[in-house]
Amino acid sequence: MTTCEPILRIENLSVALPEGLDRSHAVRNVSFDVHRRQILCVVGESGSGKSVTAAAVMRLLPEKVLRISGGTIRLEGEDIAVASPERLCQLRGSRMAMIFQEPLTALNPVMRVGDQIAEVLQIHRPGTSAEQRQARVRELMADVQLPEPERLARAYPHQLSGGQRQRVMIAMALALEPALIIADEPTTALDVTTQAQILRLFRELLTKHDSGVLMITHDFGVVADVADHVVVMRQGDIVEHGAPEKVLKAPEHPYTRALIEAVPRFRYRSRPDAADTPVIAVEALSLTYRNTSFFGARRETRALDAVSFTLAAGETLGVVGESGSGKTSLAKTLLRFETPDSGRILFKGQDIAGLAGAALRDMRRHIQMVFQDPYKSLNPRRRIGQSLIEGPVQHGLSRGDAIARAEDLMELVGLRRDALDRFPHEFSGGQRQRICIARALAMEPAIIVADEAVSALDVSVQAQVLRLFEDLQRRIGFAMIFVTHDLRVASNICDRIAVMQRGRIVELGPAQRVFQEPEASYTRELLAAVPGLASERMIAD
Amino acid sequence: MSATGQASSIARRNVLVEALLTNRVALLSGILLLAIVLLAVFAPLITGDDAFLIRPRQRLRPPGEEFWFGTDALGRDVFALVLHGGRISLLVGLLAALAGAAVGTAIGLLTGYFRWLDPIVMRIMDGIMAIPGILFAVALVSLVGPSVVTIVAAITFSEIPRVTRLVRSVVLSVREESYVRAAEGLGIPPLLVLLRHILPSCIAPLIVQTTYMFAAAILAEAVLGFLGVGFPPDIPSWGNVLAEGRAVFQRAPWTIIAPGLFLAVTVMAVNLLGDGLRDRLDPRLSRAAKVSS
Repeated sequence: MTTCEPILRIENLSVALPEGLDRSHAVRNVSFDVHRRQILCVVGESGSGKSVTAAAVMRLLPEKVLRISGGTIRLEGEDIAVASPERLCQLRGSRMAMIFQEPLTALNPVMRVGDQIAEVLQIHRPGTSAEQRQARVRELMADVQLPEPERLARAYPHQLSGGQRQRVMIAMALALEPALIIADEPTTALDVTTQAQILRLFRELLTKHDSGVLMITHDFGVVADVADHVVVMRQGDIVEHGAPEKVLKAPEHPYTRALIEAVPRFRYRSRPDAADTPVIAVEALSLTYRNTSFFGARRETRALDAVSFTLAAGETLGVVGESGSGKTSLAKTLLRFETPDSGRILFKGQDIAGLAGAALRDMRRHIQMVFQDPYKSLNPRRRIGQSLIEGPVQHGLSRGDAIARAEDLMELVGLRRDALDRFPHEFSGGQRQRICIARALAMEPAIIVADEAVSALDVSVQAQVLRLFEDLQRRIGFAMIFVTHDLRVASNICDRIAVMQRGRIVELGPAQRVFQEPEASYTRELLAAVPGLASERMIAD
Repeated sequence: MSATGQASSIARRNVLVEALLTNRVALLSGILLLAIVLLAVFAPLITGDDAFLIRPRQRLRPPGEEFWFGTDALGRDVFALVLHGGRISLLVGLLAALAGAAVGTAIGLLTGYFRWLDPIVMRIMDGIMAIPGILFAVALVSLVGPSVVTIVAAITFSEIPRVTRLVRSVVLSVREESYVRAAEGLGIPPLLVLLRHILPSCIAPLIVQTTYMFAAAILAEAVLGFLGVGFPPDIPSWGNVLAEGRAVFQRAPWTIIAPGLFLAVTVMAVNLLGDGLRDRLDPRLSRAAKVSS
C-alpha cells in the first residue's frame, strides 16, 4: 500500500450528545485514516457511533442535537470540521460523496435516474453542455455495470430492482470522481447475491477511480470480503483496529471476540427424528396478487405457485430465498392473512384454506406469528401485559389465569415478571422480540411462524433470540416455520430447509444435505453469495 | 443502545396537557375560551333575566354604566343578550362538533377496515360534500322547524365527510402495521381490533379536527340565525342577536359590534387552539410528538 498522504485523516474526533442521556458522547476520541485505493470498514452494533462518525465526516449531523466537540477531520489535508457551509457544499459531491442504506428512499421517485445523475454534474460543473453530461451519464452507468444504460437512464427508481438502484446511487457518488466515498450499510437492504455483486463492484471502482472508501457495516461477513482495514466501535469508542486478517482471526479485545463469535455460521443441529404425523400439510398452494390499474389494465403476480410441504410436530422448517421469492407470501397464507387461489392447508386433517369469520378466528390460536420488526409489532399505546393477555382472554381464559400465564411466560423468555405494566418503548429491540415470542406462546399454539424474526436485531442479540427459540421449542414442543434470507441463521435452527424461487419450492430437504450437497443450481448460487465465507475459513483455520 | 436494562422507565406525561403548556398562543386561546364558556354558563347568575326584560323607555341606549354594551331596539341589555346567546351558540357548536366527530369516526373506521365498504361509502361522502352545507341546513331547518336537534343535525351532516376521510386515511395506514396483524392473528374480532388497536391512533388528528368543526359550527349557527332560519328571536343566540341588530345598525352599532366581537374572538380562539394542538400532535409537523407516541 502506498505511504503517501491519506485521503481522510480523523484525529481525536468527539461528538457530544445532549445532556441527560446514558452517555455524554456519541463518539469519543476516534482517530483513523482512509488511504487511496483502500476500503476501511467501521463495524459495530446499533448505538456504537459508527453512523454518527460517517455523518460527522460529511458534516451532516443535526447540529442542534449532535455537535462536534473536539478533534479534526482532514479531507486531503483540509480540516472540514471547521469548514464554512459554502465550502462544504463544494466539497460534498466533488471531493466526498455518500451512499445510503436504502436506495429507494435516497433517490427522487419522480425523476428519471439518468437525469438525477446528470443533475449532480450540472450543479458542480455548470460549464458542461447537455450532450457532454448525457455522455458522462452513460459512461458512469456502464461503469457501475448497469445493463443497457441507454434504456435504464430513462427509467424511474421504482422500475429498477434494489441492486440496480444501489448501482445508480454509486454512479451518482462517482459522478465527480470524489476522493472519498462514504457508504453507510450500502448492501444491508439487498439480497445476498446482489450484495456480493455490489461489493465486488466497489473493489473494482476503487482501483479505477483511485479513491478511498469509508464503509459502515454491522456485518463481519462484509468486512471479511472487502476490508483493507477494520475499525471496531462500541458505544462511541474504538475498541480495536487493524488488518482484517488480524482482527477476525486473532481479536484482542473481548468485545470483538464476542461479536465474531455471535456471527452465525453454518452449523447443523442434530435431533432425534421428529414424529411422522404432520401437524400441517400444504398441498399445491397457489396465490396470485391482482392489481387493477385506473384504466382497468390487470397485472397479475404469481406469489405462490403450487407449493407443497408437510411439517411434523416439534419440527422446524426453514424457508429461504431472495426477496420476491414468495417466502413472506407463504407465511401470510399459512396465517390466513391471505386467502389462496387454490390448494389446501390441512391443519390436523382440517382444511383451513377456505375458513372465514368465527371459524377462522378460532383456528388462528393454533398458528401464531412472530414478525420481523419488533418496533412495529407491539401496539405502542398498550402495556405489555395488555398485549400478552389479549389473545388468551379472547379465547375464554379468565383474566386472572391469563395474567398468571403472562407472568410465567415473561420469565420463560428471560424477562422480569413485573415488567407487564410497562410500555413497549421502554424495551430494547431484542427484549421486544422476546415479548412478541411470549405473546405468540400465550396462545399455546401448535405452530409458530417466524417471518425474518431475527433479521432486525444486532448479531449478539440475534444469537440470544435464536437460542431462546431453540430452548423454548425443546421445552414446549411447538413446530416452527422459520422464514429467513440468511442461510447461516437457517442452518442453525432448522431441521429441514425449503429453498424458494419465484413462488416455487426449488429444493426441500434436511438442512445439512441442502447446504452441503445442494441439488438445485439456485441453491448453489445462494450459497456462493453468502458474505464472509472467507472469514469462516479464516476463523476455522 | 443494547446494554441499557429494561428498568429504564420513561414517565408518560399527558400529551394533551403538555401540548397546551408548551405553546403559549394555544394556552392563551384556551384560557380565553374557558372565560367565554364560564361567562355563558353562568349567564343567568351574572345578568339575571335582563336578557328577556323589555324596557320600551330605554331603547337603543349607548353603552354606559348601567348597560355595559348598551340596549337593543326592544330595550334589552345587549351584555345579557350576548352572554345568553353564547349559551346557545356554544352548545350548538359543541354538540355539532361531537356528533360530527362520533358519526364520522364510526363511518371512517368501518370504511377504512372493511375494504368492500370503501367504494360505496366514499362515493356517498363525495355526494354529501357536493351539497353546499349552509343551503342544506337552511332547507332542513325551514322544513322541520328550528330546534337544537334540527340545527345541530343540519350542521353536523355536512361535517361528516371530512371526519370520515380523515379517519379512513389513518385506518388505511395503521391497519398495515404488524401489531394490527398480530391482533388479528390472535383471533381478536374485527370490532375489537378497530376499537383497541386502530382507534387510538386516530385520536390526535380527531381532536384537532373537532376543534375546527366546533368553530365552523358556531359560525354556521350564527349564519342560520342571521338568515332568520335559526332560533326564534325570544331565544337569543349570537346569530339572531346580530340579525336583529342589523335593522338598527346605523343608529346603534353596539347592537352588532358586541355579539360580533364575541363570535369572532371565540372562533379565533378555537382555531388557534386547534392549530396549537395540531402542531404538537401531528407527527409530520412535530418531532416531539413522534418521540412520545
